[in-house]
Amino acid sequence: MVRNPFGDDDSPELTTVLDALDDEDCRDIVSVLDEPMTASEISDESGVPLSTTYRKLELLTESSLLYEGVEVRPDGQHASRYDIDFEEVVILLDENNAFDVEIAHRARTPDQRLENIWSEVRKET
Amino acid sequence: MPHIPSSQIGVVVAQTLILVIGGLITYYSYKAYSRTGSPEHKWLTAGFGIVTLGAVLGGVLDLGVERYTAGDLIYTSVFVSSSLTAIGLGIILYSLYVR
Repeated sequence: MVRNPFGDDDSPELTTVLDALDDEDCRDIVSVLDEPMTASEISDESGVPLSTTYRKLELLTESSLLYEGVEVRPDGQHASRYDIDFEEVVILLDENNAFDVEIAHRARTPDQRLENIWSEVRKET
Repeated sequence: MPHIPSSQIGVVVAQTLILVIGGLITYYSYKAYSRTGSPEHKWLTAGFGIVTLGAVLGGVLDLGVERYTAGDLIYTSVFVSSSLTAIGLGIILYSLYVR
């Protein structure tokens, strides 16, 4: 399931982002991602058990720290690959003295956007 | 039933395929738009819709309207279909940049 693939504009919940950042497994996952990887590759590289990896990946994509791309394979076994999707996380104080979170995303190139748009259209077929 | 030259049968078959295939792509894009509500899918739907419409409209002008009017509409129909194709492809490209 591609979670909110076009959600560049709506920021995730502060608590979700803080949960992800406070989690050692999540940080290990981010540290091994130097290219797009599948969940099992991430699990192998980071040493986080696969079932835990799935949960952490969900938390990280929900926080919009990671980006989930669907790799379309000819045999129909589509695999999700995850990649880092942020440059910086800013915690700031809004006008009501409440905490707010802003995540600066990496620029999406047109070919990445085409992949996203098309993977959403594919779900309708 | 007026006689249709064999060269026109090929055009009609191709136009029908464009209508069916282009219509399906447009329909799936529209369903993706109604689910995601994202502007990318709105423009993708519009782009594919216009490309499809342009090709079919060109054929209707050439083979349909021409039969009931005196003039030769071949250039008009090529102009209509190719301009709408250009506009539609432009909109599809735009869908990759829209925020």
